[in-house]
Amino acid sequence: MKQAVLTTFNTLLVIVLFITISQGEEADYYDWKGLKSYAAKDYSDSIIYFDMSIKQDPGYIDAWIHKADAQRSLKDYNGSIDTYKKALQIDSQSKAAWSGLIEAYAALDIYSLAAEAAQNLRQIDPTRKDYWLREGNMRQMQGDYQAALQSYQGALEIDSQYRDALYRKGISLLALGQRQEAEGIFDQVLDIDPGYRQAANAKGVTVQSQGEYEEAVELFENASQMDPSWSQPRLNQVSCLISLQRMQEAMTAYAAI
Amino acid sequence: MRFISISALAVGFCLAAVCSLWGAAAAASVSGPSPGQDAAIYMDRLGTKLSSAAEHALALECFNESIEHNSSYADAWLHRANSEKALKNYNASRQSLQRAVQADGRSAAAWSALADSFTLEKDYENASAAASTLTEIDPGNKAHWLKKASIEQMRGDFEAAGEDLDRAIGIDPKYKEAIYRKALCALSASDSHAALQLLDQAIAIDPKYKQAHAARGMALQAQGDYEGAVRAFDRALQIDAKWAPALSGKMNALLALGRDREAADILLRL
Repeated sequence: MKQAVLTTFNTLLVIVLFITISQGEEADYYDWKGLKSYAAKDYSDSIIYFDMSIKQDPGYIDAWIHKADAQRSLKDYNGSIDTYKKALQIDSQSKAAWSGLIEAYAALDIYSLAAEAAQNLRQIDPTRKDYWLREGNMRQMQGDYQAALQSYQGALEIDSQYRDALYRKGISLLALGQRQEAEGIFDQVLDIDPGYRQAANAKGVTVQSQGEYEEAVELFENASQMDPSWSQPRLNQVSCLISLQRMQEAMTAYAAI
Repeated sequence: MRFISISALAVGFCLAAVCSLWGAAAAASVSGPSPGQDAAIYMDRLGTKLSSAAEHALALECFNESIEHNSSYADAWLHRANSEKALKNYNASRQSLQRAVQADGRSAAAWSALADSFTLEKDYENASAAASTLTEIDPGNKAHWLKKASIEQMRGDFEAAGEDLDRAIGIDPKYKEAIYRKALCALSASDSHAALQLLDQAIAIDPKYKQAHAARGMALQAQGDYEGAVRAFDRALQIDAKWAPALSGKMNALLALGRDREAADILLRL
């Protein structure tokens, strides 16, 4: 009798294990199918597969994240936010889920929540300089230039030559009215990478903000030559030429933009 | 991808069928245009249809075939140039246009496209010459005068541009693009008051003409009225929130007003 009970129990255990493993494999399979559709930009189809994967295994976080990514690609940002949050309920340390959440909030221009998500991501792995940068960028978009400075400082403590963080730090300094400090930072970026066109343009803007229009005209010319198809420095140059009352040059440049 | 391949095959079959049909028709033809001319016209039309369907590479083959049948057929050269432009072969496109105007020196469409092609290459001297020919061919067309004026402005010859714009406005006194360009001429001569009057006129014709609002911003900036300039750029941005010239103009006016934070907000989003 005891032998029969044991045999039955073992058989049931094997069946349960088999079903569980099969479900896991099926979840993985549907997720893989979804990723194939996603790669082919068939986002709606991919969501059907991700949902099938989730149905097989509701704890399979990859399928939740991939579904949210697909929703984001379809510009269903609110839907993607809900889905990323479900992924985070499974694993609150998921970098991919936090990262997607930042993008979804940013797409909706909700930068306060994007910045919070970026802060969470950075706290998960504070050794990643790009996480500090991202947090800073969201703070800047939120309009909190002071807090952004602290984030950029965090990135620069990891890599003092991190040009993107330096550039953004310069923007924060400009916004906070520290024009000369900003100019110095943009110089530093251009020392690291002389082809960094945004820094060249921003340096021109900083010099212009100090009323040094002649110098700014030259700086915008340099920035424009780095990428002749980029209209931004040319437009700024036009503005400086107007301030200098060099109207014919200004209008000639403007007509050609 | 598979659909594209099938489409290409289908077009290929159509081409083959059309060519064989044409052969039969040409053999049967006994009067009218020569078979070569008819074939050239037919292939050009087929190419134009493919071009409308954005099948530029296939269209190019048709235009080439049309030119093989009749190398002095200007339309085929012009259409070939358009396909080459769509395929971003700008040099080849310009060369085709030069062949088009050689084939038919009175083709306004070819001269107009040639002027555009030179402008794209920033060769304003040749662009101006092409636009001059255009105005000679059809002096009653206001768009030709505007095109020439725009090129003259890019060359920095605002006096010549002003004369061309007067011709355009003479044809159509409510031609807002010409009035706007005339305002740029006034600004180039440091006459911001005249520029503002012209821009108000353009805005009265079309209140949503963003170019005129942005130019008002520049005129006010030239007068040192940065607050007014910000308001003018804001009006342009109400029409098109992401338009770079208005964003940039506003940023620069804000900097002049010492409103650095707002200027930085724009700089980040440019």
